[in-house]
Amino acid sequence: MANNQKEILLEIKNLDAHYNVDGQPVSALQDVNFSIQKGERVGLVGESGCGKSTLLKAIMGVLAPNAQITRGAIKLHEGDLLQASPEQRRQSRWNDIAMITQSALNALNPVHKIGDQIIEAIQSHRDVDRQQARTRATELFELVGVPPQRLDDFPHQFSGGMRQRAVIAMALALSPEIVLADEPTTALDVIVQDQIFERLDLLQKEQAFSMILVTHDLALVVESCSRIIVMYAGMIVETGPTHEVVRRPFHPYTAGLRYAIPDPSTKYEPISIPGAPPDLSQQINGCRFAPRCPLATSKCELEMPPLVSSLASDAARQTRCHHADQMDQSRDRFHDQSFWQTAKTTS
Amino acid sequence: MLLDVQDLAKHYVLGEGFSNLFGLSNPQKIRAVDGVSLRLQPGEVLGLVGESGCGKSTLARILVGLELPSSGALLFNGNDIAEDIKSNRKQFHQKVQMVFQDPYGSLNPQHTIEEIVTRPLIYQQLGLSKAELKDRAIDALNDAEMMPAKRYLNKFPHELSGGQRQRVCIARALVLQPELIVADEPISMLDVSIKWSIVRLLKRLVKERNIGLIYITHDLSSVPAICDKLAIMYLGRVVESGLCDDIFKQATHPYTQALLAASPNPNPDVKRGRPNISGAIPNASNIPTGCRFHPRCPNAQPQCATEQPAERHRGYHRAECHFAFDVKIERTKRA
Repeated sequence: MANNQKEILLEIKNLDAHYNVDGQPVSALQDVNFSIQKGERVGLVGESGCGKSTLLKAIMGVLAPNAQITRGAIKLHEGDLLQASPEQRRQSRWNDIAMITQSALNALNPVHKIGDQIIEAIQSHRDVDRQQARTRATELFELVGVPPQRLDDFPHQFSGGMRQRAVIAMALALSPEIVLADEPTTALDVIVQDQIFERLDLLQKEQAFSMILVTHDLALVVESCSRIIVMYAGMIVETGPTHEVVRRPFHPYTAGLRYAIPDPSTKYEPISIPGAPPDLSQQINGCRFAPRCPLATSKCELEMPPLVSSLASDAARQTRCHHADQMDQSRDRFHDQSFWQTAKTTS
Repeated sequence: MLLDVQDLAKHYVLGEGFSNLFGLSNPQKIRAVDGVSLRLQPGEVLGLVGESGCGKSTLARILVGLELPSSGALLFNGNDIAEDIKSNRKQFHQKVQMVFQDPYGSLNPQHTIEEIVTRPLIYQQLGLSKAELKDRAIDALNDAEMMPAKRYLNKFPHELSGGQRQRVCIARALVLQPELIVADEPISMLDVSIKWSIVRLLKRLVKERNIGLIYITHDLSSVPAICDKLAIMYLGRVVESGLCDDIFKQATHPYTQALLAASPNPNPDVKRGRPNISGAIPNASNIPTGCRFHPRCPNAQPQCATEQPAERHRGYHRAECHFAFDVKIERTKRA
């Protein structure tokens, strides 16, 4: 998957969003910028509350009623989705952009046969008769590896892995250009997860859709996405080619996430990051990670670092840290739990 | 020997109720736990690993006395307690405590942290004064690294982060100074960045106080950093067990090999092959004949379909497979 001169499909520009909670704005996304090329697979990682699901919902146009986008653009083929009418957005949903949700059980209606739900989704967007829609549904089931005779089953008759496959089939029903996958295998066992990803790899090669994979599991991104976006407290803190970022993180938070995962190929014990993400109902001027960061200085507390190129030789690598230039000397220290304990908040 | 589980089984019968009065249903036996043997010394951590439906949570519920076994022996400090858990529940719970998966669901939202942590003491009717109860709660919270403990006593669960809540659950388990703790997926719902603070805490407590810990998980990657011994469960039985190091270096059961091969690796410079098995874990009401893993096994032979494999072992390393320690199965990529 080369990064050079491919067509840009989706572009997120300067996106800010917040939730209104008891009349108070709580920041959810701030200054989010990135783009996805045709056929590219991008992994979006971060912990609960970092804004990764809000970002997906904003792209899909299914934000909660108390969420508000205050700035920015979401451009699909140059057209800004945020300026589109509700009808245009409805048309574009599933046609251009489809979503695979975490809980397949909740994504499927329990009182309708799975096949009928897929047929309905196809017919609501395409001018085809029931028979044609059924033929497409059969194709889709074969594609995701479920025997087509099971189209007439109800969701409860499926195992967790099969339900997730059915949801993937539904997402692919209208051959979308972009698939948004929100923790698609978090509820599944590792062997089933592996089978689903093997299938997704295959499908993506055949159908050349782009994918944004949202997950808290860095290892999954390492194995399946060419590019990674790391989010913390509503902001992108680091992005670049996955393997480069994971081998040589320039943001202390990325280093923390990486070294918090047990790695059988190293001698290091996993670390934990002391403290918790900041309260986003408060105005924060400095770096949002500063209170948990062992490299933080007074500058970090006062001044928000910009997301800028962290490696002269590779413009695709960007980091939001005042001290990214120190990382090459200090990266190894992030394996050491006692180094993390030197951060300002330790609880 | 702190805990000695011998051939323990738990069978549930479905469809035995009202509808069966009229002969309308066909009672089905679910063999959730189907002959498990485990041993645990004080100060040891035993990892119990398997996919959903393998019976690991049922086993955990039996070990803490929430379920009674259908058959088998459960020896605690040499005494068989399978029979009298019911009559001596209170005594039993002084020695055995549990930490649950969900730190949000397992704390009463209307109780303060002090009330939550002192609850087991009150239940035990130890005749402690209010001040003594408070002191014990503070000690337990300190032990769980909730410091300064006094600051948290009057807080409610919703005021704490996920990691802090799990520490409260651990403090609640510690307050009776148990000899055995059963922790069912204690870190799976926590954020990546704080998981290991909880693992380190559990590990420290076990070693310092000589507590036995049974660590239940579906995530093999977390196991080497905490467990001394490991038992892999499949459809109600332990299919492979032994020292953690031995199993990670040389897993011999094809199921363990598949589990290891299916775990994503965070290191971009390590390439893993995909596991060579298909399908999913069958229903426990319909356990395959012979070796229960044979329908999914990449190197099943005719005898595997008919003969239940006997346990084979090499030192402490044991496996229930006709070909354990014989053939090296290559972890090849699926075609």
